[in-house]
Amino acid sequence: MYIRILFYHRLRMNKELTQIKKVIIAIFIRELNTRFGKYRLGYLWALLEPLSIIVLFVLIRGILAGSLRGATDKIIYHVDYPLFLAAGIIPFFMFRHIVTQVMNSIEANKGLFYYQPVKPIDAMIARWILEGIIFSVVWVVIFFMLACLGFSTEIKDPLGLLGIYLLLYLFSFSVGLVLCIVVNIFEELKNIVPPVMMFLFFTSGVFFSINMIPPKFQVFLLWNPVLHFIELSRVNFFPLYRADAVSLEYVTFSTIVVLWLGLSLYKIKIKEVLSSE
Amino acid sequence: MIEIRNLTKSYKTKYGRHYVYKDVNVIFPSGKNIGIIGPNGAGKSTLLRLIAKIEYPDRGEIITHGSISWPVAFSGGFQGSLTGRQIVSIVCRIYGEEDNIRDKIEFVKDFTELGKYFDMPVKTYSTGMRARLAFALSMAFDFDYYIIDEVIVVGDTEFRKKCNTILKEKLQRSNLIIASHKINSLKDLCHIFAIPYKRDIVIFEDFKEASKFYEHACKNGGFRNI
Repeated sequence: MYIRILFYHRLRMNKELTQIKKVIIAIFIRELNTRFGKYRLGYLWALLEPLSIIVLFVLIRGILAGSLRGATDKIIYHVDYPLFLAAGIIPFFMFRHIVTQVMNSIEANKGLFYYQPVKPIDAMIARWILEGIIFSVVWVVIFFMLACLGFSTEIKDPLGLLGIYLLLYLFSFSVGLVLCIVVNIFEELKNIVPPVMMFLFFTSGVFFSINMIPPKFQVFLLWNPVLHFIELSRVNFFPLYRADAVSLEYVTFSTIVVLWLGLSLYKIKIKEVLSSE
Repeated sequence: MIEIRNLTKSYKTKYGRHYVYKDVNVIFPSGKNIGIIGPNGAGKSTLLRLIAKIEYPDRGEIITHGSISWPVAFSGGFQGSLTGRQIVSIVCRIYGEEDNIRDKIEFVKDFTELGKYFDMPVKTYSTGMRARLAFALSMAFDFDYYIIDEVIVVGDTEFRKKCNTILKEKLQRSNLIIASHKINSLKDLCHIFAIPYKRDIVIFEDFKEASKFYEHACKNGGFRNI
């Protein structure tokens, strides 16, 4: 009898899982078409945005150093400056895009929830997957372009790097999930997300290495998990790179806590969010 | 069968909580067309949305046996940059009908008579074309209950005839849950009349009684619980 019940539940769960999978695929196709249809440059922009910032900062540095050579110097642990920048900007943009996309997924797909099988989490996951694919393509294209320009490196620990990226991928989703529920309850909070993102852009080690910062200031910066993620990814990326104060334990712990918080908020508050129109 | 158990539903407003329903218990037997009658703001649409599981009760539950449609002719989920064909295929996937996409697309294309517009973004559609697509999409799927919010008027006389024909066909196997503020429009269509009244739902099986009650309630201002 017990086994029968267990088996029945297993069957039902399988059925539900395949249904969820189908819905996610449907929304994924919708998102894919929508973004491409809206602006022709939709996907190209994902590439141009980080690229333009890399070029901009290389130029600024060149002007400060007074020469083109100075712009691409290997002054940070034998890493070419453009590579150093790319290794910070690309993951940061993944983080930013996932957070904003997942955060806005309920708002943007409101009409879809009239179709009973569609649940908000499906829309979030569909967007998350799309952002993951965009990130992978952007990563490959930009580092390929840099290699063509003569800025290449061997990757110190490819698996470790992939692991950090995957953890950041999950962390970004978790932050997006928390914010999605929060901004749907307190709509005003939506306005402070862009400035906070701007703040994080300059304090997450995209443009600097944590070892360049005096220890008494490091303490403040090290509260930010995104900085740990970016520096950890560089440590796994460049053979001689060092970031002494960052910790894998801290980012793992942060991810678990934020994910747990997001899932709990979702479970408790989602019906209220859907009903408040 | 649709069973409403201890349903309580409220909304937050500036002036405190507004209760639409409080501890409502109702059973709608299967095989009957249900008409929900009330003036604007009485809670018709809320009830429809609760039954369609688009919204959720504060307390209590709504148990439905059989599948329930999305609101017929609802077009709020149409992304402007998608074509009619893409929208049909996406909704097919959502409802797990990916093996029948081709049939459903054929059906919708024929029924709407959109021609070349079927392959153009819906933002280029006129209001009427949009409504035709939305209606045909609802009819492409088989549900036990079709949900209709206000009697739908779609397109010209020709198209309306077509709509009535297919609705009648659907009614051979399915039922309607239809909301309206004009009780007379539901006279021949529905078997059960549900009137949201003073945070409760009053049920009538007889049209005359329902109509009498409704008129009386309107006169006495019984719907003004806001």
